[in-house]
Amino acid sequence: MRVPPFILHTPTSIEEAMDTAGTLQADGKEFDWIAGGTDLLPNYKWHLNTQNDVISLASIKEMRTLSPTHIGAMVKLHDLVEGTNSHPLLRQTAGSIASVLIRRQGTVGGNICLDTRCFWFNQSEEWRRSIEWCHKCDCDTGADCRVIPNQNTLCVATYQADLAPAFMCLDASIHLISPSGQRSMPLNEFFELDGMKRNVLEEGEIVSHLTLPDDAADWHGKYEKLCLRESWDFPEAGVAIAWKGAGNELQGLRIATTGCESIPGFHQEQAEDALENWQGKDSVKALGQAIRKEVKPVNNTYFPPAYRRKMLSVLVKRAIAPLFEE
Amino acid sequence: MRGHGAVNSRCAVEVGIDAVSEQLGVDPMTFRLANLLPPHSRTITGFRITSTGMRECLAKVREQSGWDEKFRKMPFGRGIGVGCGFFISGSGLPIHWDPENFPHATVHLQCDMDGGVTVHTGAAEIGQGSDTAVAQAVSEVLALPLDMIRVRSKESDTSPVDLGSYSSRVTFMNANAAIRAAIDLRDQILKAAWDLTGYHPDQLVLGDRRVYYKHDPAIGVSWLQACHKAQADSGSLIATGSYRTSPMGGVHKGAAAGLAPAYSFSAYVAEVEVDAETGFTKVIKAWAAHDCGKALNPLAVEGQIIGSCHMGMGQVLSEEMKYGRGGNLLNPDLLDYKIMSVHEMPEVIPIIVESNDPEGPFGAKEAGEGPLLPILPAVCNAVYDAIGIRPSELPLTPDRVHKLIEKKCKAMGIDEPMDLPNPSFTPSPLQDIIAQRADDHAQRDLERDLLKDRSSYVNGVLFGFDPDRPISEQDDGWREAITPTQEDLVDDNKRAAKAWKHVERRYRGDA
Ligand SMILES: Cc1cc2nc3c(=O)[nH]c(=O)nc-3n(C[C@H](O)[C@H](O)[C@H](O)COP(=O)(O)OP(=O)(O)OC[C@H]3O[C@@H](n4cnc5c(N)ncnc54)[C@H](O)[C@@H]3O)c2cc1C
Ligand code: SF4
Repeated sequence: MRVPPFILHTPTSIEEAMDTAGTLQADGKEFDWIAGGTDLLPNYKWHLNTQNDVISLASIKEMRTLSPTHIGAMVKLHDLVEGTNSHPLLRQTAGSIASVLIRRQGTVGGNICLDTRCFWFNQSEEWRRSIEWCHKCDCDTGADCRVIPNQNTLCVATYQADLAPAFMCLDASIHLISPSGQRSMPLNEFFELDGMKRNVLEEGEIVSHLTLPDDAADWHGKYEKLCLRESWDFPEAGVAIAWKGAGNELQGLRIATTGCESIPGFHQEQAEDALENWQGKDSVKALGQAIRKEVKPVNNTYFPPAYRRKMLSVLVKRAIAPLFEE
Repeated sequence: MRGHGAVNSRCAVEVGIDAVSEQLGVDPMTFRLANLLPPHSRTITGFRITSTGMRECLAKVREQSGWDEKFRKMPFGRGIGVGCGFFISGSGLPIHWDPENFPHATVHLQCDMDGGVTVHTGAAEIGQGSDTAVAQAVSEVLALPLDMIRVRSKESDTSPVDLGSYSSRVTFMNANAAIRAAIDLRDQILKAAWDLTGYHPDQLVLGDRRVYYKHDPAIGVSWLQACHKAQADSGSLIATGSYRTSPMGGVHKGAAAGLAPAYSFSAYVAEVEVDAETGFTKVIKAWAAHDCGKALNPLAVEGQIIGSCHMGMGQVLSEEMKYGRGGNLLNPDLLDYKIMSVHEMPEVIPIIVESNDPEGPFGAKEAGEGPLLPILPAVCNAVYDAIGIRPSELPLTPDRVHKLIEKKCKAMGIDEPMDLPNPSFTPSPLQDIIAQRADDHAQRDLERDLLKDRSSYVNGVLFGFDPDRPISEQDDGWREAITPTQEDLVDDNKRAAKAWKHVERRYRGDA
């Protein structure tokens, strides 16, 4: 299990990165972006969809800006945790990712763009050969999906990154740059099915940074993560909830989930319903049930999907609990 | 995994004992204390028990964990449980060859010109500290500092054959062999010192790199002088020692399994927190008492106890191989094969109990696999104390426990898991009776330990045996033998160890 050789390009500015990307594209070459590499390199070791050319974003200073409302894609997770003026919800969420070692290497952008995971995919090459590959990395064999067979077109691998739901609950916007220009959108519009497509990024496009609206500081929230061990483990289900106001006088409510489907879920409808008929603590159970109904995990991670789904209502209850403490 | 085979079955037995005590309305701690074997006894299956510190182990964890204040008295979701275990100090019958003809362990010593001693042993140091143990044994007999002992254990061309690092046998068997070799070497040194000082070996003492007259330490020779004299006399100063177990075991089917020259005993108490809503179990603290006979290297024993708890915690809470539909191992990596991390590791209080085994090297028994056994049932029983659920399948992953909680809620018509009843304890009249019996047995054990007569107490009262007469006198079918007779050999049902009939064939080119 060795990392296959690749050519590493190390631009020092976004402009240069775009030039490099443009040149490679013009030559008809496919490539990957690499940030901290804590996700990409393990996948390369397993020979999962590797490329000949890899462009590193590590030397681009302008992507490391961190302020309360501007979070550069190359900000290290550890710096987000330690950053005293980062939003408390982001700090708490980032602190639950992997381990200190990985957080010192992994970045915000890499976390948002994390590849989806699946028991049948995140395996060594020999292992995957033994099951005759799967759709997501089929080595041109036209292999089927091993989780939901006989559909051949979709991948239902699970998005297991922690930060996205927290950002969504703070109404973050994501900003993308490509050789052909820039665009921005609310974070929940960034993700796109299926487990292979993952998001709207086009070939040659990067995430430059995320921004929070000015009123983000008025929102409080909590992230709850289901995982067997306190460190290392990816979320088997994760719920972030943010609220504005207090107790029974709730003015705003947002709720998002991760670790259950191929993209994180932003549950606007359920949050609005709950807010409309808000009766304090008594509304929590119904909210939990609504989320549990909405999210449909499949059997491709450590815990069985039925259990992950049931736990969603518990996570909702626990994530919103601080609202009633005072 | 350590103690393969023994661990899961021990867990089942200990969980069963807990369930039985629950049904009888007695405290599981007292229940265990009232049912222990005395030292120097023989089990119905023919195990010869020499020393046992089980009673002391239980007493210590009971006291240190605050058992009497906590058992069935903690709030819902918090629980305490006890589990016991015992383990062989080396397999009584070697798995490779005829124990009648070959010893279990052999050690060669060679004393060099500089007075240092090189130990040649085949016992494999796999990180457990067996090199240290063998060096300690030699240095103890020769009264030499450890830095004068060199251990060559990794060279198959110079070392005598050893059976291997398995069945928690190395300290017990190899150190026993080393002691014998060292005594041989010591006698050669003493003889040389006798020639030099004129004092008989009975009057000489080894210490501080000298051999001296015991009534006047000023009279003596240095270790090196004695060595050189011995080398001058015989040309070389070498010694060898070996160990083999004494005859043991019956001739019934299965008699060979679990035979050992001595057994370690242990009792652990674990305190856990169970989240009834999610099924997560967190071990808060563990009190781990292990009777290793004599702790030759207390630091290593404590390390083994704590390490065992870590390994056992994985076995009871999280580690399992998950297979997919086609039989593919789905979690062949350390991310998804969940070994407990430092966050999950509770504080472990290692408690060493020393029962000083008569046959062990300086009284030592094992501290290898045995310390793992009790942590599993201790955790399982604590989970019951916490939420009233008695799992029958391991590991207790949150999803499994959650399923059991759901089932119980449904059966009881309860909506919220947090409303489940907290297990309670009302002692039945039997409690006082077994408490009395436990006290009586403590006295019995003490007396047996002080007795000069080491003939075995026969543990078969339930089956109508008299505890004070040898079992062979009471049961015609019982014979104590390490070598089966011709008759036994032709009877396929009789001897578990088919090895007896196995003829070793080696290709020698002419056959
Ligand atoms: C043992 C272990 C445990 C882990 N546990 C967790 C966990 O609990 N929670 C969790 O969320 N994650 C976890 N991770 C995953 C990962 O380490 C983190 O999510 C980390 O934030 C990834 O960041 P990175 O910079 O290392 O990403 P990289 O590996 O560099 O990149 C990841 C992906 O994003 C793309 N990418 C990176 N930056 C950009 C950008 N600016 N624009 C466009 N595309 C980009 C890359 O091309 C790649 O496809 C774990 C990883 C390991 C190895
Ligand atoms: S969900 Fe299906 S296609 Fe996607 S990685 Fe898993 S097995 Fe492959």
